[in-house]
Amino acid sequence: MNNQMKSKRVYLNLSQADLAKKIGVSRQTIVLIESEKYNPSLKLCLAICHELNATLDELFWKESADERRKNIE
Amino acid sequence: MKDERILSELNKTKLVIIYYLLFSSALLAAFKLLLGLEGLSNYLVEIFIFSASGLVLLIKITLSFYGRDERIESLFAIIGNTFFSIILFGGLFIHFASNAYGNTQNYIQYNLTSNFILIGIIVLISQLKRRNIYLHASLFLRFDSKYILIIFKRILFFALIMSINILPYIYFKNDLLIGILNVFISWLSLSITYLFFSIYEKNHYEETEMSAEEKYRGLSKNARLLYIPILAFQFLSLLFNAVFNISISQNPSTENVMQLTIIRMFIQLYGIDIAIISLLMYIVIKRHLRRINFSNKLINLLTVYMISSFVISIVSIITSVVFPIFIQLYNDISILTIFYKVNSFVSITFFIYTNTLLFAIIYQLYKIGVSDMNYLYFYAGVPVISTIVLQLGLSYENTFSIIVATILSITGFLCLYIFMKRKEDFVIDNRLLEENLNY
Repeated sequence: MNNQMKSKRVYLNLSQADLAKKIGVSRQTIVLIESEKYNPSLKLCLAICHELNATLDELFWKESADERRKNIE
Repeated sequence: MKDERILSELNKTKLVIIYYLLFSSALLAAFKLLLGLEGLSNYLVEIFIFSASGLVLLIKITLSFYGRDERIESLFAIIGNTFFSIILFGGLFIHFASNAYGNTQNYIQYNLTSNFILIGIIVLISQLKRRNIYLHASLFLRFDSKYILIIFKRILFFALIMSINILPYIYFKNDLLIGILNVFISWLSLSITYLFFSIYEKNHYEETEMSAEEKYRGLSKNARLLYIPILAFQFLSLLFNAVFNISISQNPSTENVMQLTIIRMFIQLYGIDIAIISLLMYIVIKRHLRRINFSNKLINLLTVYMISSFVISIVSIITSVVFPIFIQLYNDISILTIFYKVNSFVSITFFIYTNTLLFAIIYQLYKIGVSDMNYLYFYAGVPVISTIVLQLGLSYENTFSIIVATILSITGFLCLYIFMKRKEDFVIDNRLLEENLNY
């Protein structure tokens, strides 16, 4: 689950349908991105970031196992 | 911005359809060979579709040697898209050209093609559903209220393309009137199929969006939509039955009887399409009931009923179409005796089986509670009467058909009635609701 994207969307009080309409995609596409069942292209990622006022790192960066271990230490 | 997910999933769906066409063209050609159809003009469409779709498969295999590469994948998507259009429109044009040249189309050939088209539509629907996309998604999003108008405009555009198909008839100097009629019938059947598919998609989309807002319909609109061709088939057959009986009583010559019997066989063969549509209708009802957390027992009974009614319909068509062909081919009275014996055995077995199932369903319905009889008259009464009259006329030698068709109609429409009646009383399970929200 892409919790960063979902929490940012909820924080901005946007429904999945609202966000989908703003970007020009279907609601199902937003559902599938949030549930990590679809990997969006860089172009779509940027459009989502733009609408949610966030950076790519904030919404889509995934920590590698090494980074996660380092952060925990 | 175009929805890239929909575009990429649509390309994958088109590819599956191309592979289906590769397989079905080979199968259709094999069937034609078995039916003893000779002459290259009868196989032109199959050869064209098989070569074009085979070429796509070859390209796919060749490109797979380069490993997974985003750029190559997008190149292949363009190739697949182009070939899809070529196969679709090219196949249609060659179909009419070969028809105009050879003019040897027969009823069974038409019927087989129609069966394959219907199965193709079901493959398309299942692929779209599996990939969480709609063929007309962009239209729903952009032109919600004008959607049907756009679909009708497209159908008119098909008519324009179809009119080009009359040209081969003029070129080959064949009967222009037959050509126009041929083209018109094809356009009409394709347009009706496309219209139904478009409404089906829109209904499905609306119901998915409704479930996301915790709203549910008592019965899926698509179940009612799919019931239209079933009812239309019953009434058209009834009409033919009347013409058949009047014509035979006025002109009992062998030639007239033979001609009408062939048309009757043609209509009965369309029963295969109707059986497939009925199966699809029950799948729609079942999925809808599961979504709204309906009684599990009734859903399970409906599944058993759904599968058995499909099998019974197919067996019924085979006994009333294939057996008479054998009798005619071998001209042997002993085959007729075997036919009646097999028919009686099958009748009794299925009668007991469907009756048991019917009582089980009725018991479940009784537990839920039936009260409003008005709906029952409309949904069960009219189709049952038409079915009985139709079967009495069409298969007067086949008592089995009358019994089975009556039982199937009564049970099916009782179920439909109950599902509609219960629309206010559904209990929505929160766990199921969350699952629904994921799509």
